[in-house]
This record gives sequence, structure tokens and C-alpha cells, in this order.
Amino acid sequence: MVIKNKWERKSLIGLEELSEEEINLLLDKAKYFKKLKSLNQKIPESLAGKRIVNLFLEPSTRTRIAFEVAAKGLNADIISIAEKSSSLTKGESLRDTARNIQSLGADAIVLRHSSPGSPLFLSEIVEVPVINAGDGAHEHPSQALLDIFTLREKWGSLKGKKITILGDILFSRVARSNIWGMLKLGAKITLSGPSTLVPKKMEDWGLTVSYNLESAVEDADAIMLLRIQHERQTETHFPSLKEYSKMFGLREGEFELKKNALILHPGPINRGVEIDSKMADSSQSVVLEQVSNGVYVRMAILHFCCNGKV
Amino acid sequence: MNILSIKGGKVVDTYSNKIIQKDLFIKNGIFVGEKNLTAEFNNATTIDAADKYIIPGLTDLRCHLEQPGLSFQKSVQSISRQGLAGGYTSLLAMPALSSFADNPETLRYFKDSICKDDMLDIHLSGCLTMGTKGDTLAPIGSLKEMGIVAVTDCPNSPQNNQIYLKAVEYASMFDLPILDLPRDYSLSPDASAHESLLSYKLGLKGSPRISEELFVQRSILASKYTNAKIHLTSVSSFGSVELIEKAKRDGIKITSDTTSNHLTYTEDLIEKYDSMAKAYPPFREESDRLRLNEAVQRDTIDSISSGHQQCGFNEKRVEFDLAPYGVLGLEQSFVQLIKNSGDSEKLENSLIKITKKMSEKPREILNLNELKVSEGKTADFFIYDPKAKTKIERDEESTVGQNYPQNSLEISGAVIKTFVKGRCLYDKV
Repeated sequence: MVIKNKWERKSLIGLEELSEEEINLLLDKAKYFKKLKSLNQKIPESLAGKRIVNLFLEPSTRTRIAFEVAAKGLNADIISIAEKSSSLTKGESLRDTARNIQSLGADAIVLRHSSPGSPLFLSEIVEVPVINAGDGAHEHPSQALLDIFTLREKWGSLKGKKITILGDILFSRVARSNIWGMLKLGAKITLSGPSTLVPKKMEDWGLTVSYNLESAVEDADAIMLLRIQHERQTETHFPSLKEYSKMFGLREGEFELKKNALILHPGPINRGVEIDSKMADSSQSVVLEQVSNGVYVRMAILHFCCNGKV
Repeated sequence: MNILSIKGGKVVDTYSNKIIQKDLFIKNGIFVGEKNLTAEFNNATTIDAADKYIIPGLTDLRCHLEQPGLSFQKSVQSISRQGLAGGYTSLLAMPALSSFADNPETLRYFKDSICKDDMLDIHLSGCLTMGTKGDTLAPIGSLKEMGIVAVTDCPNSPQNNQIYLKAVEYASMFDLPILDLPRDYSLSPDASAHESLLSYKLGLKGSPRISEELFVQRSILASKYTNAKIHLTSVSSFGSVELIEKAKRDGIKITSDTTSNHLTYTEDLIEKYDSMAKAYPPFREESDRLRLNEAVQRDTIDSISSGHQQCGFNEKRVEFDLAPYGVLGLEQSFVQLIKNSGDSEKLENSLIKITKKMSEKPREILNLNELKVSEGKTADFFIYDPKAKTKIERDEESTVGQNYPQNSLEISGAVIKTFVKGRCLYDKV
């Protein structure tokens, strides 16, 4: 097997395709950017003159803004297009929209789309790099990379660490990207939540599925909570937010967590549903660190995918 | 006068399960016996078929004629060409024609303006319910008067059990077989793949096996309850096979088919979101594929259909979950199922078995006349050359559907000529 220890990819579609070395390469670069910032040193303008287009065809605030901040941090131009202002509302296909954006001089497209596989589809059509900012329930690589970055920063390595991902796994792209990435870095994963949202079949992926919250969290080194929603696609999957909170909500004092266990959440948090406020704001919670790390990780992604020079 | 002789070919007869070398003579679209040969045969066109097989024309049980975005006439012509190239001489059209076959006028228009004499035979099905919506019964009696040979809502299936049962009872009064593509929509909303670890990884909504199996069992019970002749089309899960096997043991008169593509492919085709391979029912897992093949061998599954559905490049090459279902099957279905790796005994056994499943059985299910390569019968047949090659490649410039399940395909063995009523309508160059 050829070990890839330098970045040779054009696009970033998901963590499934990345090797452990490629993941570490991205994380090391993010770490470098973070260090420069903390030392108040100037971050190299590695993408000066590059034009990046945020094509967000599904609502998003934090991911879109994080990519904007990251691009500006490397001195790239960034234009954000939302679904309502794009020609897709006039019936134009994704293929034509993307080709037009390319013709307007984009050097990379950051795509958020509700269809799984759409970034791969797009990357086969356009010549410029495509960065997946979330495709349906498939992958959300930049989110998983920032989660992993945050954990690696705390632990040094994920090897042998026990991580529990809790909540709506079935519809979660964040869960899928984290599963790919964390397994590659040697972590042991447990998935937990209602059986209707956490298929037992997922154990074939090389992880554990547990419907007993207590045993799923008691020896975890980190617990990643996913946002729970009770809308059209999940309303047949569990009775109510109240019942969810009662059965799977993380509340202080109810469980014996490991002393140093970390709590992650990709946001936005439903306080009182998947986690109570006290725990969300406790010293074990790394939620706000995740957000700021998200900028450095996305700088690293843009830097590599757009051939940034340092 | 149309006179033809074919010399030296090996004739496949599924009724006697034999393959016998003999010379064939055709006059005015009918096979004639040697004793009836007149002097005019001295100057007849002769085709040398030595080392080749003469096989009765295939009949497809599930073919969708309409291609969105293409004129209906063009779509039908292209399907006819593809069918002829695959050895088909007739097919059953699903009821989505230029409009739904839920009224006599649509059927009359089809017969008067779409069917041409250089095409294969197109047999019509009528809708079971109006617009295949599953709400109200279609005028099945009036449709029968226009010549339909079966009723179906395929690719839909009535979701309301009362409507389904009444439709089945009503249709059987006219001695029409009912075709059902079993699918409980409530168990597979917005599904675009088989539900499995792969669909979980890809983030695609899955259609679980139970969504098919529940409706397979519904049809079995409906057949038992009404004594109607129900045919399940395109079954794809191993659980369906088990249910059908038991029903047959219990003496229930249910019949079924699977598609040649489901006997060949698994969900692996969509690993990279290739929307061209998005089919309904979805390609499932290797365990399903093996069970389906075994069921064909053991006659639990009666026949094999193509499930042919043309989709244009623009409609199909979009985001995977937004792409329509549908894969092509007519051209490759027969050749890809024949075991042709040099062992002539295996080859001949496979020719008999597959021809039975694709010619004799579908015609029996539809109550159509027998096609046989023998004296007095209509000369609908094709010539199969085990030494030739079939090559299929998607041509993305083409306006007619190129949604072959695979980007390119090379199979040893090929259909080299297809005859309908004694006229050669396909000649492989």
C-alpha cells in the first residue's frame, strides 16, 4: 500500500477516501495556523488572488461563516451563494449552475447540498476543486476534522480512545464523517440513541451499537452529542423530544462519566433536549473550542485543495 | 412472396428440452416442413447457421415504453431496436404510454399511430387503477375489448389493500393476469437504494427488503382468497423467494419473475453514486442475487424480465436521490445470462433454461400463443452465436437512454439476427 504523506487531492469529498496520513496532514496544517494566530504572528496569505465560491443550497450559518472567515484568513476572495439567490430556484440544474460558476472564474467551490453524493457528482463535472460542506446524510468532512482536531489537541492521539456518538445517527452526516475519521485514527466507537435512529446493522462498520445510555457513556473518553430534531423525517422514528430527553438526554448527576471525559456537540445545541445547560457549559464541554478550531481546519482544507503556497 | 431457408443451425426447443440440428424453411412468415417444399425454395435466400443456435423469440414481461424528454414515437422505436438486438420479438408494455392506458382511446391511438410493421410485437397492458394512482378502478372490461393482455399499475402498486383486492377480483372476471411490482411505499419513502450498510454509509434512504416482501405476501394471500392469476414482477429479495416457494408448495397459483439485471448485479454498482444504475427494485446484496439465481434454476421463479426503462442523460445524470429509477435491460439480458465459457453441455443446458424463462413462460403467463421453431408456427426467432461478442457502452451523446447499469460491458456470445414473422429485423454488423 502506498502511504500518502503529502496532499495530492484536488477535492475533499469525505473522510472515507482519506488515509490516516492525509487526515494528520490536514490537522497538522490547522495546528500550524492556530499556533501562528496564538503567537499573534501573521498567517501567510497563501490564497491571495484565489476566488472561492460558497455554494450553499441548504441553510447553514456556522459552516458557511467558518469557510468565509477561513478564506479571508488566507486572503482569498470569497463569494457566498445561497439557494434562494441562485438560479437553481429558476429550474437550472446543479450541473449548469456549477459550470457557470466555474466560468465566472471560481478557483474552488465549497458545496452544501441536501443530496448525498452531490459533491462527488460535481467534482466529476467541474475542473476546479470541490469541497464538501455537507451532503445530505452522507458526509460533513470539515466538521469531523474539527472534532478530531479538538480531541487530538486534548489527547495527543485518538488511538485506543473510546468515543461515544449519541443521538440521531441515521440522518447525521457529522456522525458518518466522524466514524470514518476516528476509526482510521484508531479510536473505538460506540453509537447510541433510539434503535430507530441507530441501526444495529451499523456494527458491521467495525463499531459497537448500544441502546443502553448508561453503559454507552460510562467508560467513554469523549461523548459526541448530535442535534436531535423532531421534524418530518424523524417524527416516525421516536415519540417526542420529551421522551428522547428522558431516555437519552445527558443530564448532570444521572450518569457516572469518566472524570476527564470530554463533551462535544456540533451545534446548534437544543438545551434541555440532548444535554442540559449545566453540562453544556461545564468544564468538560469543548463546544466553543470546536467552533474556533473549525476556522483553522477549514483554512487547512482550503490551503491544500487550492494549492496554497506557504 | 417471402421465402427463406436457414441451414445447419441447432434449434433450441424448450418444450422437449432438446437441441437438434436441422434446416429450416420459412414461407410468408411461417415455418414450413421439408415435405411441403416447393420448387421456389430452390432460389430462396439461404442463411448459413452452422455452429449457431436458432432460438424462439423472447417475450418481455416488464418494459416501460416512455422516456421522459423524448417523443413517445422515438422512444418506442428505440426500444424496439434494442429489443430486437437482444433477441426479443415481443414485449408487454407497461401502462404508461403517451398517456396512461386507463381508457380505450389511448390504446386505439397507440395501435393506430405508434405500432409499425418493422417493429417487434408490442402487447399492451392496461392500468389496474386510474392513472396507476391506486384510488379508483380502471375500466378494465373496456380495455380488454381494446386488446390488452394483462393489467398492472407497474411501476406503482396500489397501496390501499381494499382497492387492490377489488381490482384483482374485477380483473380476474375477464381472465386477465394481474402484474404487481410489490412495494409498500410507507416502508420505503423517498428510497433510492437498497437498505443496507452501504446505504447507511452513503447516506441514502433505503428500501428495506420487508417493503417488497410484505406486498409479495399480500399478493399471495390475494391470490389464495380470490383464486386470481397474479404475477409478481421483478422480485429482488431472498425473502420474497422464500415466500413464493412456500406459496407454490401450498398450491397457490402465483407466478413471478425477476430481472436479468437483478440476477447479475448487486448494490456495489452504486458505491460511487452512479445514478445510471439506480433501479427499482434496487439492486440488493450478493445473498439476494445468489438466491434469485437458485430460484430460477429450481423454477420457484417462473420467468425473467428485462425491467427495461429508458432514461435520458439529462434526467438521469443529476444528484443521485433526484435521479429517476430505471435501467436498460433488453439488449443484454439474454446474452448475459447464458453460461458461455467453452463448455458446450453447460452452454446448451443454459440456453434451454434461459429460453424457457424468457420465451415459453412469459407467453404462458400472458396467455399468448406458443412460439416454437417448428412447422406451422410463426417464424419469430433469433440466431445466437456463442463465438461472437456483445459489446455495450454508454454513449453520452445519444438522445435515447444510455442508462445501462454498467459503463461498458463485453460478453462472449451474441444475438446476430432476429426475425419477426419471417422478416429479418435485426442484423448484427
